[in-house]
Amino acid sequence: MEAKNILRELARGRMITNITVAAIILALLTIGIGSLYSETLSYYRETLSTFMMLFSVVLGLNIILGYTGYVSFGHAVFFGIGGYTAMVLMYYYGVNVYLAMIIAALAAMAAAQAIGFIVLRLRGAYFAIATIAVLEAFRVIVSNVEYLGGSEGLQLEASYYTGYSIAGYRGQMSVHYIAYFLLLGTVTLGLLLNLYVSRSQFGAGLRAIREDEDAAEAIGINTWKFKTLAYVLSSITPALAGAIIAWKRNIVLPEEFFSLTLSIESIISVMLGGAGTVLGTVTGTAIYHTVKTIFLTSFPSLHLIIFGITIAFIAEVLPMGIIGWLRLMSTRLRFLLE
Amino acid sequence: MVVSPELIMGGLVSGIIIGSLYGLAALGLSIIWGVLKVVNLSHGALIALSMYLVYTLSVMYGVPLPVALLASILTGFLLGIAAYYLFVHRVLGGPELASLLSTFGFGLIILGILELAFGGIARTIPVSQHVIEVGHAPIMLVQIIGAIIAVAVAVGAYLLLYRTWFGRAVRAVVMNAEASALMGVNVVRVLALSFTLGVLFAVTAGSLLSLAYSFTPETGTKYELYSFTIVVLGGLGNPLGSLVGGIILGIAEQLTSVIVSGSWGPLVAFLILLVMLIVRPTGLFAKL
Amino acid sequence: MSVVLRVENVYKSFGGVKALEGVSMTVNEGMILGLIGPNGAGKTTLFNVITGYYKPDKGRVELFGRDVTGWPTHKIAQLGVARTFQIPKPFPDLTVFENVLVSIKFSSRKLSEQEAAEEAKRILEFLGLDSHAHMLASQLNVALEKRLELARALARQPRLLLLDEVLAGLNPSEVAYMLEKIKRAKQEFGLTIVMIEHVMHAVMNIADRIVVLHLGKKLAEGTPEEIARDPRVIEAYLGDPKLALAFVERLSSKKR
Repeated sequence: MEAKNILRELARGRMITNITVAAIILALLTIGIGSLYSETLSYYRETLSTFMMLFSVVLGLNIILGYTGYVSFGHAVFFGIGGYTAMVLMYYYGVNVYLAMIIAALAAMAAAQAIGFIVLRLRGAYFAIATIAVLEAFRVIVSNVEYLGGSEGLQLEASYYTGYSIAGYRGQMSVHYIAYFLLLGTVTLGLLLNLYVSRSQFGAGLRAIREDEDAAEAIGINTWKFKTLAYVLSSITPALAGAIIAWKRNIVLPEEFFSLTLSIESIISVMLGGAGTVLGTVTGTAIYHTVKTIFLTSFPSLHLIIFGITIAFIAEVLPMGIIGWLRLMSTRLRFLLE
Repeated sequence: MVVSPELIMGGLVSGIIIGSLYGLAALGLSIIWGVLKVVNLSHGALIALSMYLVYTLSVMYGVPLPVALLASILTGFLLGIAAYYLFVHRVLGGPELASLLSTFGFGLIILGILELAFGGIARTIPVSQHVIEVGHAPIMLVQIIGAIIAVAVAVGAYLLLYRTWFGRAVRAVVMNAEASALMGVNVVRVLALSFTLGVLFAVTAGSLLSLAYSFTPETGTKYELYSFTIVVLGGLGNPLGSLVGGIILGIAEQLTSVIVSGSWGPLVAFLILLVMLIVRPTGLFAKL
Repeated sequence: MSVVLRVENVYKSFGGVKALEGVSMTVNEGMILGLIGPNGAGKTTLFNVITGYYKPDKGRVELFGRDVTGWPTHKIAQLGVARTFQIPKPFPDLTVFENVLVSIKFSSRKLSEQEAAEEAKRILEFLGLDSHAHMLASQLNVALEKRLELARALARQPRLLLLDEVLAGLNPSEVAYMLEKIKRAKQEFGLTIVMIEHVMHAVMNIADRIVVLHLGKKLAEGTPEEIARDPRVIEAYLGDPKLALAFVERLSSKKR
């Protein structure tokens, strides 16, 4: 294949991705606006909010796990840091959710820089375990610090919400709607970040690190800088989602915010779709979320068992994920599926 | 709060006792990691499972405790063999993430069954409250017996790995699986047996730990992280290193509980783990 | 003629093992220097010191007249140094084309996407890899893997190329092919090359100068003819019968 043709196929692939991403965002936006005026859409608003919460973590995780190859097994730590930072600001200082989100994201990025300084010198399973330990350590600390509410968590008063309104809904009535649009904004940001990583020189460097860190260093890539930046970028959308969910649920709890389950769910979603692909994050999260919702409503007590079987199945049968598997099918698909 | 020398002494002694059980649990993780290059993320769930097996038999069906313990350990053995072929064999030699995920999946299945059967309420197994004074520290007799069993099993493991034909085969496979196969070692069987042995140590430790503390299905996670910490402290595939690492962690945890508060205990383990990972990921003790 | 690489009195040990003990050497622009020595002589360690994977315990490394001792690997690479690895380290789940492309992207050249893709094609054609361009690197056989290592290094358009046993494990016709490509690459790109090699006739044939390492020390240095006649070198290789044989063959073919 000529260089020109390769580039043309790649451009076509990017166009497909752009259209897909735009279609997803538009669809979510339409449903959100629709739900403001039609009560029948409220079920979709809530299930899609849960979907977008998970998707925000997935989009962050894909940068460090998918593109850089570092298995962050405790990625919900940034969801927790975001949630707790925002809650402290709202609870003690009455800060509004928008500012709280921004500060939460900055706090998570600073934390990622600091945690990364420790854990990013480890590779493979050692890195994975260290990230679990970091998550557990945060949970233990948070459950023991009174300022952060200990194991009871911190809870916002109803009066905190009086200033919020959207399309005629006021106070606590408006929260579910506003949260939906904030989550949509977070997901949009996450998708843009992933597109940037996928197409940039920076992303090419991350892929090289994933494939072989020594060889990446030998071709002139500052691996330490690259992977630290990847880790910092990967913390943003999880932290934003954490802040939004803390505000939406009006409470933060150690187990729910520094949650190993959320970490694992995001790993499953990334792997199911295909790590290190943009389309895979959407595919994986959508499938996982749908299956989980069906099973949780039909067989609530069996969900852990079903989780377990799903994970083992992916690992043994489809470790490269759906999009990853399709990309191996032909050279053409490899160019077309980003 | 005044911390008296007696309290410190008590913390030390109970740290050694409980730490030897942690060490045995870690040995289970360590052997699988060292021989199969698989970090067994079902480790904690298996420990929890063994606790509930002992509970079911001895509390719900009134089976004598020693029999319940043996039955639990035997079940672990059978489960280990089945788990190897179902969840481990196919992901060997693949990407690291595949084995992490498949063993984690196995762990979730166990956890789901435990949640389904027992719910999240903490359970305890009533045991003899007979207490022995060790250097002014009152220690329960069952715990002492448990620690002795743990040390005996760890020493047994050492002898098995370094003094028998099986041990030689295991070490040959660790060094070079292909060459071992050419020399007539049944590599798959060695791998399966090593995995089973690892599970066996985990459930033995879990069964004994069930007598010391109350537990829920989630309890396993804590012991799993303890085991990681100890493996990192003691070095991979090193039985005596695991035992010493376990005792260090046990003492650190118990002293923290005495001096600060019980709920900070696990944090000490994570801090040790992080510091060790940074400073010396190959462990304090070189491989024997 | 300017000095590309100067190694001065370099020491490096691991635990109790002394891998390098006071090694010095100078490589001038445009030359091919062969680095030989029995296994465990410290050749790859020297490469790792030059490229910044290891920091020397003592001594200096100078590249293009700058002291780079203790610099990180990527900064040394950015000066225009490329290397291959003894055990090839391709990016396994990227295609052959993508392997070369990423290397081009991180070279000092500023190329558009189109130019980079065309350059990648050109290098793959140069090394006869174009028909494998869209295979995953993990699917290549040893010979092609070695070519990919060389392709990825050349893609950087380096000034200094360090080759770590690129001929090992190749059959005679593949060895001849690689030698031809190395010679042509040297002419086309104006390269300076240091090569570690065990395939003795090849290195004797291609190198302008040879440095012999033995047990972490420089045993001898000279033209291939001088080295082949040096009794100390032959003695050092006697510990390694296969290579000693190669040496004797070389000597006898000289006499004829």
